[in-house]
Amino acid sequence: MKGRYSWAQALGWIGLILFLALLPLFLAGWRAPPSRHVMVELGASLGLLGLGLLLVQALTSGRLAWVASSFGADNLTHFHRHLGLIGVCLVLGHPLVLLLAEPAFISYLDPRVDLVRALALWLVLMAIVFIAASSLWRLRFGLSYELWRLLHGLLAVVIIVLGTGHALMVDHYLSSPWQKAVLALMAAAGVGTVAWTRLVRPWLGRRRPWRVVSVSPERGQAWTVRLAADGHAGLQFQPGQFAWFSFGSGPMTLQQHPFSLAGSAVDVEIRFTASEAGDFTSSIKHLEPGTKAWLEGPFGSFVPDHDPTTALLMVAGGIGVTPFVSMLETFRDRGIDRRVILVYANPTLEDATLSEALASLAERPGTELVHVLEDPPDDWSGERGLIDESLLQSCLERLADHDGPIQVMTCGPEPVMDQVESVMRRCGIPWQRIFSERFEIV
Amino acid sequence: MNAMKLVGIALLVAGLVLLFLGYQSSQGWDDQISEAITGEYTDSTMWYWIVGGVSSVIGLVLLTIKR
Ligand SMILES: Cc1cc2nc3c(=O)[nH]c(=O)nc-3n(C[C@H](O)[C@H](O)[C@H](O)COP(=O)(O)OP(=O)(O)OC[C@H]3O[C@@H](n4cnc5c(N)ncnc54)[C@H](O)[C@@H]3O)c2cc1C
Repeated sequence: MKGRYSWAQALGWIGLILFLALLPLFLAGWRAPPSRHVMVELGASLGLLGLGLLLVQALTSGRLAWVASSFGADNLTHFHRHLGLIGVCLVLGHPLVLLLAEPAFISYLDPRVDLVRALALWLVLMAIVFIAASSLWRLRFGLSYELWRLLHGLLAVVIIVLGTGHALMVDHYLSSPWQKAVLALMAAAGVGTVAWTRLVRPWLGRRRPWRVVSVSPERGQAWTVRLAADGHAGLQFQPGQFAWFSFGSGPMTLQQHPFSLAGSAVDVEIRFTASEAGDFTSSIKHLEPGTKAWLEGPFGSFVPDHDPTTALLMVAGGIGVTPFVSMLETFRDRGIDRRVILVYANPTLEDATLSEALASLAERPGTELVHVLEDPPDDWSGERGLIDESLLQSCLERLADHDGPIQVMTCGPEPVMDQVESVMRRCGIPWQRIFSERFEIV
Repeated sequence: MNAMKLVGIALLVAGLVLLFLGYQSSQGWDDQISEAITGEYTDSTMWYWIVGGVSSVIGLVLLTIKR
């Protein structure tokens, strides 16, 4: 997509998010009552600002396609995480600063004063600590991704509802009905967004079932699953995008996993290729043809520039190659000739998932496939070791012969992507032209 | 997952109990006066309703969702 990421768009989004995050504070500042001790005012402001930030988190979760597609799902996940952590610190600072300024505020947390209020406020504080800690250290907590995601959604609702209830009932700044109504509406929108993405949308998806057509083995302990639409028109997507898949009798399940759409965007059938990473991906080989499947998507803006003069440097590690296969197949099926270099890193050629399909795609004019093997056979004449700066620079030099801009796209293990991003920045590629897709969300 | 269903039932029951307590409390003299003057219930009553409502909804979600 041309100009998918731009300063104007990024600033526009940041402006909107900042405005919404600051809205509770603005509301409170409107005809504010006479001010109290500066520490008390600071404490209250921390709470309102923290609440505002946590309310807009529903927008940045990455599950709203219209936000995710203009921001980039990967950037959005980073943003969500950082914004969330700032919100958590502010909300935790709220009681701390208030108690330092005026110890009598402890009555809010004292069950002897008001049992249910104290319970609710302790619950919010614990939910906030848990939501942050479990997102930073999910594996150390021993939480499966599915359980983590369920708790994240439920606790987000608890925090929004109880936190907003508290702000409304304190009744100091937000005392007029319209102020209360705006904040309540904002909270309702936050809860509504969570409910929409977690419950309503999957439930609506039950009218658009898919069926497994085949499951076939690939190199590198991976499986390709083909799916056909069952009684509907299927899915329109752009190559590089992904969808959330679940299998079984209905779409309302916790086992929903994201996979890049690996086939051509022109095909009516869709397919994805998954490598065995854990319980779910290891069970894919047992899927029987005919099994019902459910799909939410497409998501993501890891999409090549539409302008055919843009040269593409694709850098994949392992299973991160799947979105690139979709791009190359789509170019082939649409008869588009593009200047493309695909650098594909694997331990050995036997691990290089979809390498046969790539070999034939690389025969197209302008397309180059560069395998990088960590542990190559003795007679290997190609690149060896890991993807390094000199290899990336030589690819950029080869692409520089072509008139037109360069777009760099990378997908694979974190270290590969970090390396690509930093080398490209050093080589003067602007950030808007470096696209990354991370498979590990949390 | 059975544990999830058990937690769901517990939250639903706790939520319904809190909503009932909220209703009882809204019928008390302090709430009747507060409602007549400000148009709102007392904070304690509101907290019963909010916590009861959230707990029941989460309980229901846990009961309907599949592992
Ligand atoms: C945008 C995107 C595109 C992806 N495309 C592909 C692809 O084309 N091919 C491929 O093999 N893999 C892809 N993945 C990764 C794939 O979703 C995970 O490997 C898979 O969900 C792991 O599930 P598991 O139960 O087998 O493994 P687990 O052992 O449970 O998890 C391994 C890791 O995968 C992640 N993960 C687990 N469950 C989920 C879930 N429900 N949703 C999101 N992440 C989860 C977690 O980071 C976890 O640490 C993609 C991920 C993302 C975010």
